[in-house]
Amino acid sequence: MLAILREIIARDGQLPVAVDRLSDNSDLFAAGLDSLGVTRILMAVEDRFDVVFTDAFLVRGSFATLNTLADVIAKLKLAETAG
Amino acid sequence: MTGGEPAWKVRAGEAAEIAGRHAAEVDSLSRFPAEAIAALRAGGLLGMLVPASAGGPGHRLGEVASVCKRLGEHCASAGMVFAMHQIQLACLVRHGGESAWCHDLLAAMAERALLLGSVTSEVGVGGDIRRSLAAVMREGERFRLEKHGSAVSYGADADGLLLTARAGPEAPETDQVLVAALRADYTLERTGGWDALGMRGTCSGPFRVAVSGEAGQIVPCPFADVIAETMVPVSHILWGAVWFGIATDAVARLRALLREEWRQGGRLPARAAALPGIVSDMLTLQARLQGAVAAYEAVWESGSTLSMWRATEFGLLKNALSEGCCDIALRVLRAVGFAGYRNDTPYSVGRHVRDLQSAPLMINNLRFSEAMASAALQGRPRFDIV
Repeated sequence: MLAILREIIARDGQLPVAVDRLSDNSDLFAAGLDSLGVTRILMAVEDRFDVVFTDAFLVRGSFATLNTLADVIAKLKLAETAG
Repeated sequence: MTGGEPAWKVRAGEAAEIAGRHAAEVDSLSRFPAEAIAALRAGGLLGMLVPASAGGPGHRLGEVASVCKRLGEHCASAGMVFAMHQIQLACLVRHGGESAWCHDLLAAMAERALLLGSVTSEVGVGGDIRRSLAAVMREGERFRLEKHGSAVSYGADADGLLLTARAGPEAPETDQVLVAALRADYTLERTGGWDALGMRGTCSGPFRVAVSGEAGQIVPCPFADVIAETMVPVSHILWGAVWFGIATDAVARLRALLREEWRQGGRLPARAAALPGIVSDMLTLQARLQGAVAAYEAVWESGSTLSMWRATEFGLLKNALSEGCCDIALRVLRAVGFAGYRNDTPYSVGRHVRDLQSAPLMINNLRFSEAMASAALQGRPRFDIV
C-alpha cells in the first residue's frame, strides 16, 4: 500500500520536494502539502482503494505522513468490511 | 460593573471611545493608534486570552471578538492592531505547550500587558506565508534568525514579535517554525514606509529583523499545525469582527441621517429604501460570525483538532465577511450620498470604505478561491438546520 501511496503523493501532492527524499514518517505538511494537494490525494485514494473518507478521518492528521494515511485507509477498509 | 455590563465590556467601550477620538488623526497622519492601545493596556484587555494558569483572565474568543468589533466601530486601525495582537496570543496559548519560555511570556503578557506583533510575511515569497526563506540558525542552546518581513504591522511599536522561519538551514521552505522574541532579543531596521489607502494606523511597512535568543523561544509545534488549527480560524473570526464593526458604524451613520431627515421633513426620505436590504445583509453576516465563534470556542474548549470541513467553513467565513462588509459600506455611501462622500460631515463613510478595502486583500480572496473550491470538495457539507 505504501508504494501505491508514494505514487499518488508524487503525482497528486505536488510537493516542492521529491517524494523519494521523504520517509514513511516524514511530515507531509512540512514538506509543503497544502489544501489543494490534500483534496487531490483524498480523491485519488478514494478511487484507488475504493474507500470513502468518513467524518472522523477528515482531519489534517490523516494526511500527516505516509504511515498515517496508510493506517486510515486500513481502518476505513476494516469498517466497511465490518459494516 | 455598569448597568449589568461586565467590567471588560465597560473598559472596551472606554478604549473604543478614546480610539474614536483619535481615529481621524491616526488615519490622516498614518500613525500608530497609541492612545487606543494605551487604553486597552490600562484596561487589562491586551492579555484577555492569557489563561488563568499563566495569571491571565482567560477570556473566551467571542469576548475578544466583541472588543474587536467595538474598536472597529470607532477606529479600524486600532481594532485591527488589537485583533492581530490577539491572534498571536491565541497561537501561543494553544501551541506553546510545555515550553517554559512560552509560559513565562504569557505570564508577562498578562502582568505587563505586552503588545505582540508578527512577522509572517517575507520579501521574496510572493505573499505565501506557508513558505519561508529565512532559517533558524541553532548554536547550542541559542539561535539566530534574520528575516526581511514585507508587512510588519506596528513593528516599531510592538513589545515582542512572533516570526515564522524555516526550521533550519537545510529545511525546505515549507518546513516552518514559529519563534517568539521580546524587544531585547531583536533589532529592527525599517526598509520602507506605509502610505496606504486604508488601515493607515496599522503601520504595516517592511522591516528587517535580526533575532538572537534561546532555543526555548521556538514554539514546540510545526507552524503548519499552528496556522491550520489556530492562526487561520482565529484570524478570520477576529478580522471579521473588526470589519463587521466598521460596517456597523457605517450603517449607524446612514440610520442617523435617515432619522434626522425624517425629523425635519416629517416623512421617510427616498434613500431609506436602501436600509432594509442593508440591515438584512448585516444580520446574515452577524449570524455567520456568531456561528463561527461558537464553533471555534467549542473546538478550543474541547482541545480537539479542527475537522477539514470546519476549516473550510472558517475560510468561507473570511470571504463572506470581507466581501460582505465592503459591499455594505459602499451601499451605505450610495444611500447617504455626498454627505457620506465628504470627509467633514457626521455622516462621512469615506474612511470606512477605504479601511474595508483591505479586507479582501488580507490573504487575497482571489488567491484564496482555488483553495476554497478544493476544500469544499472534501467530505460531505453540513447543510443541516438542527
